[in-house]
Amino acid sequence: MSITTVASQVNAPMPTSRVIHCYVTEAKYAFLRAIRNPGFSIPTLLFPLMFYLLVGFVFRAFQATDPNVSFFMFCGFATMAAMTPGMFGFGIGFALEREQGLFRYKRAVPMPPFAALLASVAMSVVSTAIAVTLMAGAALALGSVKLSILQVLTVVAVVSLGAIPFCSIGLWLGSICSGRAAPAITNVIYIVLIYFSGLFIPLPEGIRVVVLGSPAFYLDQLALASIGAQNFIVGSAVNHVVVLLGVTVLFLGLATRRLAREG
Amino acid sequence: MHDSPERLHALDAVRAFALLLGIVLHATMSFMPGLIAVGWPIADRSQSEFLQGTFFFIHVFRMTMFFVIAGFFAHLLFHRRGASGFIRDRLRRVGIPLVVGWLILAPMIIATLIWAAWGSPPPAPPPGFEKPALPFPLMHLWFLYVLALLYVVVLVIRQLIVKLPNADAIRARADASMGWLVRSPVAAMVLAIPVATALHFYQPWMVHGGIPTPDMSLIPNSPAFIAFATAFCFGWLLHRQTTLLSSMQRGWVAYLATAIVLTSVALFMVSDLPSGFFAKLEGLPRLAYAVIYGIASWCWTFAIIGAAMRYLSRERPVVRYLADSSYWLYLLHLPLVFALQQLVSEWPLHWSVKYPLIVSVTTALLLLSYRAFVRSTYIGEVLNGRRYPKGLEKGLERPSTVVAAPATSHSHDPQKTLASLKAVKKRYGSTLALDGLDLNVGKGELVAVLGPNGAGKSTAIGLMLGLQRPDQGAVSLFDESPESLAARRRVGVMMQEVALAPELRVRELIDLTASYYAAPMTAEAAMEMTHTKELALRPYGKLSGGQKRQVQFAMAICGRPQLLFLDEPTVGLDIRAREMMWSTIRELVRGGCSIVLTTHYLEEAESLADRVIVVAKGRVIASGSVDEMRALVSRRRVSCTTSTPIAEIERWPDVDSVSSTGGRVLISTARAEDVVRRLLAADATLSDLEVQRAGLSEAFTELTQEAA
Repeated sequence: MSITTVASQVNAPMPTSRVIHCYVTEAKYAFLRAIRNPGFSIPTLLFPLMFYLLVGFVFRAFQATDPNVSFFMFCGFATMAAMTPGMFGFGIGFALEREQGLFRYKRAVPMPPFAALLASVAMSVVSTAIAVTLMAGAALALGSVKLSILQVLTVVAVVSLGAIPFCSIGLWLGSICSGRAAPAITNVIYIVLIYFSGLFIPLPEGIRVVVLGSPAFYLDQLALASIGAQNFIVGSAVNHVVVLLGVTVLFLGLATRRLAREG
Repeated sequence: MHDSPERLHALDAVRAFALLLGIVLHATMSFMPGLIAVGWPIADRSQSEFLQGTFFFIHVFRMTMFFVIAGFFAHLLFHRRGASGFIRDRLRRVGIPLVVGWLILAPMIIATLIWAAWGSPPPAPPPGFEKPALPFPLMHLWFLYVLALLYVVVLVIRQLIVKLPNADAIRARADASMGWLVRSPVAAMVLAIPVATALHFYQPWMVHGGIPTPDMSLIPNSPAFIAFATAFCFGWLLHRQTTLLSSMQRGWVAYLATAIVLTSVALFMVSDLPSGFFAKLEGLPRLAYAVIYGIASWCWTFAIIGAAMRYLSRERPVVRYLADSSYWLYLLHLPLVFALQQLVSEWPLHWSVKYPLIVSVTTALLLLSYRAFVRSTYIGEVLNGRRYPKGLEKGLERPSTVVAAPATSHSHDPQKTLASLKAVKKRYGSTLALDGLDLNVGKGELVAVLGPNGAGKSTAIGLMLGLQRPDQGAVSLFDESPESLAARRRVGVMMQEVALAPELRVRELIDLTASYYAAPMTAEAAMEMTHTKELALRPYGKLSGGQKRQVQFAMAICGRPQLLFLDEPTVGLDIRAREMMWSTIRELVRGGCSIVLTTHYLEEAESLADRVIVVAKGRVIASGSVDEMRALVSRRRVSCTTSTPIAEIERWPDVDSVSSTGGRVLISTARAEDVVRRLLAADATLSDLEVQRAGLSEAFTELTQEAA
């Protein structure tokens, strides 16, 4: 490498193929980072499966005769799987990136503004897909849920896309928390969202309406609807999709605003 | 009134968005349960409540938004071309497409309808359906017909107002009310009043369809005409004060959130009504629904225009191309959508497969036909007012602002400014970080920026990289805004205190950074230049502090930047590594790269810099070559042991300061020779005489102390 070629820069515009390459590279390394970080990959990919099996065996939920119960359990844990990568990957990861100067660095280099965001969202969607596929494989192997291949594909697709609103919430958390506070705050909000969505434990009659406040409830509903578990479904799929879209836009907007103000 | 081209790019995009959404909208209609009875000819076997909801959302705002933009551009055109020019242009670009388009499209659509209805009885008209007066199947070209009507109406009203004696007062009042309206939070509510009233009192109103589409008659139904006339007039008045667009830009997120909530509420109100599409509401719910619907449609309109102003104000070739093609796409899409809907209607597939297929095939075919038959032909000239020469598409990806560099880009030419700050002020809370700072970086020079902690060095670099915006003053990077991606693609950055991904290996990090640039060097080459080859496979998190700096240096240069920002590059490096980095930096400069270096090591600046800039308290207090800086501090330090009293020396001319330590007298002066002569004359026993020239270090210290 002779030095003269270093500055042989021409002011050529970036060819489209290079721009696409940039998005792909960003996504590739987002995956590598996620996989190489066991503190992230194990909870994201394996915890839903582990909890599903644990609850299934220990509480004998797998022996329930009503197929709706098994659907309910499966969708509950699938929803949890969709919440994890977005909320923790963005919530804690992004708070640390901001604190440690990486966010500032990424804004200084000529990275297309949405490359990192899209890469992380893609990573969350694919992580969710893997986690739910693992769960579905175990469920089919154990016979704990009766699902056709088409139903499995549908529920994996629905729940994976359902990770996106939680990325948005995580991004907002990451944009307001310091790196030190982020793990605690994200965990608390994660647990509150799960509990008040009635994913696993039906809420007492009197306060049941609070499920409407948790985005996880809407995703759970969509997951149930996608495999045709009629018993637990409330309201129409359109409304649930609209709410989740609204959540995505709202928190994305809040995060953008916060970051723009911070400079 | 002024209209800058940036604004027009954004609004062009909004108009194209409204038209292209039409394709998305019409494609949903064969999947909507029960719609066949309302007159849509095709029903798919896979029905979708989701697409029904999608239709509802788009239908709420699409045409209102379109007519706002139509009014805006109509006013623009009227004032550019005058009344007769305006009429000629509109006849050509609205009249011809309406008449010729109808003549061509009607047989195509009728043919598709016959195909669709083959063998099945024609659907019965909905209950309570009345034939309108002057029936005429305008099809989707109704919007051109209504536009033509509105042009006539607005021109007549305008003529009337101009004739009035107090025309100017009326205009001023209209502008003032318009200004108040757009800036006030109740804008959407006020604008919704006409359409809500019209809907409420329109007896045949089927609530699910919102504003009834006026496509069946030459006399538009009252709610549609009132709604679209309101929108058109609003757009017309909006162009009189284009600064109002910035209010929409500021509030777009809030408008979007409100729009989503209100539309959801409206959808909820009608989703479970017993008779589906023919459902009517009565009494209070009817009025409430009409009001919510009207406000929602205006909130969407403001949100989308605002978002476009925010994100699409700059010309983007792809958006431009879509905007040019959208008119053609919309005019032609309906027969194709019908045909595809009919083709797939019996396929045993889920709607989530068929629907995207219809939209994408329609769009792709129409884009191809646009390219082949429209863009560079007479049709394109009629529809878009210009004909693009063939082959221009190849240049699409090239932003017009980028100018090719001269072949001899290696030359050293400090006259040519690559980056500059002009009279920049920046305040953080109560501290003034930059106070009218000026800074220029010329081509091929290495500028060292020195200054005590908190002087504003990092802020200055942050501004040049587009990380912050100045409160006052101008920042430019390659003659563009530093926020421009194209400008930053010519820049390499090494920052202080950045924690890069610890999981990634060194080669991967360099590879990732290189992907941001148009023509980077390979990771191998970058590692070779920065002597980091042996680290290639090590995870970044396992490196020592000095090794991390070297890797960051490799990342900074891997894009072959023309301008390199190095913020304290050698902190934590051992002497050998520092020497190697220095030699690479020198080679880069010889190769034509400009460098901005901040450092606390003055010998680093002394050894590398062509020019030194000293910053203190947010201002440049000195600037020049290293030698000039030394000379600038022309003072020398004279020290000796003498019996002459300090008080006397202080009174001599040219003596700046006198002090004594350990029996020695220290004199600071700009004219050392004169002072020494006088000292010797005054005290024959004087001993230990020394005269020292100030180094960069002394110069720096003195300069910054003076500033403090």
